[in-house]
Amino acid sequence: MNRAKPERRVWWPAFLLAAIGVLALLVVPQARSVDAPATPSTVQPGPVDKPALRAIIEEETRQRARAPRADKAALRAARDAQAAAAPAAPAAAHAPPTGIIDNVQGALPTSTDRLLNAWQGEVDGRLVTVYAGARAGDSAQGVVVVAALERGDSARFSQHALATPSRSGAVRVVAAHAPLVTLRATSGATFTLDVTALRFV
Amino acid sequence: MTGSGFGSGARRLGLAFALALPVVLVATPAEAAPDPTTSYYVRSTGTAAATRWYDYGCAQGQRDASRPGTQNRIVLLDFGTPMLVGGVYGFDLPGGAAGEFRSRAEAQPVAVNFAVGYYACTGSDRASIITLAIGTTNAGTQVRDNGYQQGRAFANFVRAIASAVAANGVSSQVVVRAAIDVEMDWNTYPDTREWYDGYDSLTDAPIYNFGDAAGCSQTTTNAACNNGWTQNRVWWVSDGFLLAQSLPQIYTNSGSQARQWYQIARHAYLYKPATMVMSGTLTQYGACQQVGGCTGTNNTPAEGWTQLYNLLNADPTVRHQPRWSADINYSS
Repeated sequence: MNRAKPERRVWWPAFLLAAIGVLALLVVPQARSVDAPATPSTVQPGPVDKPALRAIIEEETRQRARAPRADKAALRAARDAQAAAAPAAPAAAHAPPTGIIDNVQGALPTSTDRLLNAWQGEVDGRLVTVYAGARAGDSAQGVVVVAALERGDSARFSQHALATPSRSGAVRVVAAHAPLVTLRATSGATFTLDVTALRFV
Repeated sequence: MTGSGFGSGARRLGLAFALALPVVLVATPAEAAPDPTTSYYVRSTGTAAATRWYDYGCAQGQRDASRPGTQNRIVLLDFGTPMLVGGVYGFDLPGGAAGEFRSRAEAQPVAVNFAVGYYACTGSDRASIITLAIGTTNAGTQVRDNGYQQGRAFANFVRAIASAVAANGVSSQVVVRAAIDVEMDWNTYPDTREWYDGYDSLTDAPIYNFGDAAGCSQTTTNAACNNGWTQNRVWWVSDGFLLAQSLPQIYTNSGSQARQWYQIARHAYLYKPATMVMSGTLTQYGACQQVGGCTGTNNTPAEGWTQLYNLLNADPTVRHQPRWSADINYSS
C-alpha cells in the first residue's frame, strides 16, 4: 500500500509534471491553497497519481511563498556555494544563560505541561532549571518542572514535576535566590519553591 | 428433508460467518507492530562524544545485522530548537538546561559518527539500510522571527551531514533525511510555513514531520486545532508539502493522538485528491523511563503503532500500514 514518494527529482519530469499541475489547477480548485475553504467532494475522490498532486502543491508553494525567492537555478548555485564553505565556528564557547528565561518552548520534550518561563542557575554544583507553567488542558493547575544537569561529559540530567499547592492558575518565575525560587500565579497567589528539597515551602 | 435441513443450516452458518467476518476483520490486527528502533534526543556533542555516537550507531547496525532478511528502518536524531547565537546558527539541545547552544559544526559529528558506526557494525550485511532523520523543532523565537533563514540553515546542515556521510563511504547504507517536530502550541502555521519555505528553497531532501496535532479533532474532519492551526495545515506540513513525510507522535495511552492523526488522514481523503501515507509512528516510552515517568503519554512502541494501525485499517478509505516504529530516548 505504501507508495514511494519521489525522493530525487530529475528536471524533465519536473517540467512535465509542472505543466500537468498547471492544467490540473484548473480542474482541482480545492487543491490550490492550503487555506482554501475545504468542501467535501461530491464524488468520492480515489487515489490519483501522487507526482501530479505534488506538482500542484509545489506550484502552490511557489505562489504562496511570502519571502522573496530567486529562481530555483540561482538558489541551487547559491546552495552549492554555501555547502562548499565550512560552517563558521562560534567565537567562544557558549554557556547556558542564567537567571529568568522567557523562551522555553520545546525545551523539555517529554513534558506535556504548558511551560511559560524558567529560572536557571548553579545550585550545589549542578545547573538547575525550574520551568514554570500549567498542566496541559488544566490551566488552573500550576506546575513546575525542575531539571538538574550534571556537569561533565556525561550530560546526564534528572527531571521532577511538581504541582502547585493550590489551583491558582499558571505560574511564572518572578524572582530567585538559590535555592529558593518565587513563582506568581495568574490569580496573584505566590509560591516559594526550594529546588534542593524539591518542595514548596 | 435432511438435505433441506442441511441447506438451511448451511445458509444459517454462512449468514453467521458473513455477519461475523467484518467484526473479526476489524477487531483483529492483521499485522504485529514492527520491531522498534531507538531514536535520540541529542544531549551530547563534539569530539568528546564521538565514541558514544559511534556506539549508538553500531548498536543499531548490530541489531539490523542480526535480524533475518534486509532491514529498512528509521532512526531520528533530534537536535532541538533552532537558535542563532553570535551570528552562528545552531540548536538549543532538548532536555536539561535551557539555552544549551550547539552550533551546526558542533552538532554535525553526532550524525556522522552514528552513520559510520551503523555501517561498520552491520558487518557482512551490506543490504540493510537505515534512514537517519536529522531533527529539529518549530519551537522558539527563531522560528517565529527568523523562520525562513532558519529553514535554509537547517537545509544546509542536513546537506553537510549527507556530504560527510558520503565522504566516509557509508552512504550506501545510511540515507540522510531531515525531520522536524511541528507542534501546534509552539508556533503558528504562518511562522512555521516560513521555515518550510526557507527549507524548500535550498533542498530537495524529504523531511519527516514527527510532531503532534494538538487540539485537532478526534472525531471529525475539516476542523480547527490549537493556536490557529487546522487539520488542513497539519496535513500540509505532514504530507501536502512536496517533500513532506509523516512520523506522527502517538504518545497518549488514551489513544487521543492516534484518533487525531486518523482524522488528519480522513481529512486528506475527503478534501485532497490523494491519500495520505504515514511512514510510521513515534513514541517516547524510553525517554519517559529515563525521567521517572510521564503521565498518560508513555505508550510503548507497540501500543502506539497498534493504536494508529487499528484505526487506519478499520477504515477502507485510509487503509495502509505505517512501515516504521521509532521510540525516542535521551542520549547520554
